[in-house]
This record gives sequence, structure tokens and C-alpha cells, in this order.
Amino acid sequence: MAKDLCSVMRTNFDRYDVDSKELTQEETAGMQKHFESCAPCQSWLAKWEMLRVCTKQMEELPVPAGLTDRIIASIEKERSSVSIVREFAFAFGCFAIFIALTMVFGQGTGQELLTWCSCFVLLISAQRLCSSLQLGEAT
Amino acid sequence: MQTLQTYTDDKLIELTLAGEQRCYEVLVRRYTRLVFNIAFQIVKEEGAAADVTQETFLKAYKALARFRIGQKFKPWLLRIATNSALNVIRASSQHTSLDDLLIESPADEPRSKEDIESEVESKMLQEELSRVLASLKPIHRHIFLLRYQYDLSYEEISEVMNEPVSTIKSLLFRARTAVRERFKEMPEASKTER
Repeated sequence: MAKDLCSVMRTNFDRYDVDSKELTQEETAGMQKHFESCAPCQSWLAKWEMLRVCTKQMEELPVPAGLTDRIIASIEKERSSVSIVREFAFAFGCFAIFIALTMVFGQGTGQELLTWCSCFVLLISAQRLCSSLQLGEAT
Repeated sequence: MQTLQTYTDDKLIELTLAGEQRCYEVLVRRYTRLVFNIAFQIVKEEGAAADVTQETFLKAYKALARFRIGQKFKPWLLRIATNSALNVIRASSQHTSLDDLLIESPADEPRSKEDIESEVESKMLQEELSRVLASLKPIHRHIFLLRYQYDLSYEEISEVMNEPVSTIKSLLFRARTAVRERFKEMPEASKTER
């Protein structure tokens, strides 16, 4: 009979420990009273506490050497590829403006702008190519 | 860099989105160990766990613009890690469905019956606990460790697992019961209350 009572109280404890709202105030008081006077249940509670502490102290695996650097390099690569798209979009935007300006101001002005935009595109391409090569070497 | 390490996750994300790429690096360094260990719990293989870790941070980076400031970063990241790890297992030939994965219960490893000195009791208990946890259903083990090893709240676990809080509580209740029952099954010689 006492064993059944212990079993009920232990189940109640689990319910309470997972969610204190699971038990009524009377059930909680009854459980506490039982645990205060029941040696096997006190031992059971102590074991549970030991398990909890032990779980908390379980050793974690160390991160494999080089993993963090590998992750950072992969993110940098991702960022670079996104940047290339953005920069080329910007360059093409410049080119579109050039075309529009050529149409507005005529060809004399256009020739200067064409030179300027071409240089801009070439510079960006060269810079991105260098970055990609450097990243390739690093990874 | 020294100062950045003291920033909150939210602040680091804000700065990353504003173009400060080194801030994401701080987040990577802050959570690599946790993500790697969570991934390892699921895939049980170091190389695969490392790949999952890398994939997790890359996916998170790509999705960062959709991250809501104020939401917690850690459970969001662990959810990506959990899903990535489950995908790895699903892709392996041994598992055909997520149900298989969650129901699977690995066989217990043979237990040593060697007597040990009292000063290594704690270590032995940890080893036994590891065996007990390894014998649990993966979903029970995962939730048990998220709660008791990594101190995640029910709400955070709910977010990681994409399940309602009530389901998490129910699973945790079953996991606790299973842990205790498996400890009871252990031979007396390998228990610490010798």
C-alpha cells in the first residue's frame, strides 16, 4: 500500500517538476508532506537530483580543429558571391544611366561617360577577381 | 573584437545586417560548440556533425534578413541545426522516414562490470548516464539534453523542435521516466550507491 502511495507521489513529483500547474495546491502539499516523512522517496529524490547534476556536467565534445575557420571561410565565400552580384548590378545600373544620358545630351558627352563607365566596370571586375582568388587560396 | 564579444546576440545580428560581417563571426565562435554537440547527438558521427554545423551557420546567415529582432537567436539556430541533422539521417540509407528516426532505439552497449574506486564514481555515473541516454529514443534524448544539459526553457525547446509546449512537456515527462527506468535496469555493481 505504502509502495503504491510512493509510486503515486513520485509520478506527481514528475508532473509537478515538468509543470507546476499540473498539480492542485492540495496535491502539492500532500506530495511535500509525504516526501518529508518517507525515507525511500527522499533517497529517490536525491538520486534524481544527482542525475540532473550529472546531466548538467556531462562533458561536451570539443569542436574539431579548424571547423570554426572553415565555417567563417564558407560564410565569407557566400558574402563575396552576393557582393559580386550586387556590384555588377550597380555597374550595369551605371551603364543604363550612361545610355540614358547619351540619349539626353548627345554623343559628344556620351563618349566621355562611356570611357568612365567602362573603367568603372573593369575596376570592379578586377577587384572581385582578386578577392575570389585570395579566398580560393585561403580555403 | 574584444568588445564585440560582449555584445548580445540581437546587437550582433543588427550589426551584421548593417554590413559588419565580423559580428557574425562572433556569433559563429559563440555557438559553434553548442551546435556541433547538438548535431552530434543526432547524427552520432563527428564528420557529419561538423558538416551539419557548417551548413547550419551558412543557412542561418542566408536567412538572417528574415530573423526578427527580439526573437531568441539560440533556439532559432538550434532549430536549423536540428533540421539539418535530421536531413542528414533521413538521407542515409538506414532510415526511411522521420518516424523511423524518432522511434529508433539503439541497443545498449555492453556494460563493464569492473569494480571501480570511489573517487571515480562521478565519472562512472556520467558514463552510465551516457549509456542510458544513448539507449533512449532519439527524440527523448534530444529533449532531455536540451532541458537538463543546455538549460533551454520549454518555450525555447518548443521553438527548436517546432512542437507545441504541451507536447514538449509530455515528451520530457516520458524521457525522465525512461531515464529512471533504465537506471533501475542497470546492474547494481555499476550504480554509484554502492
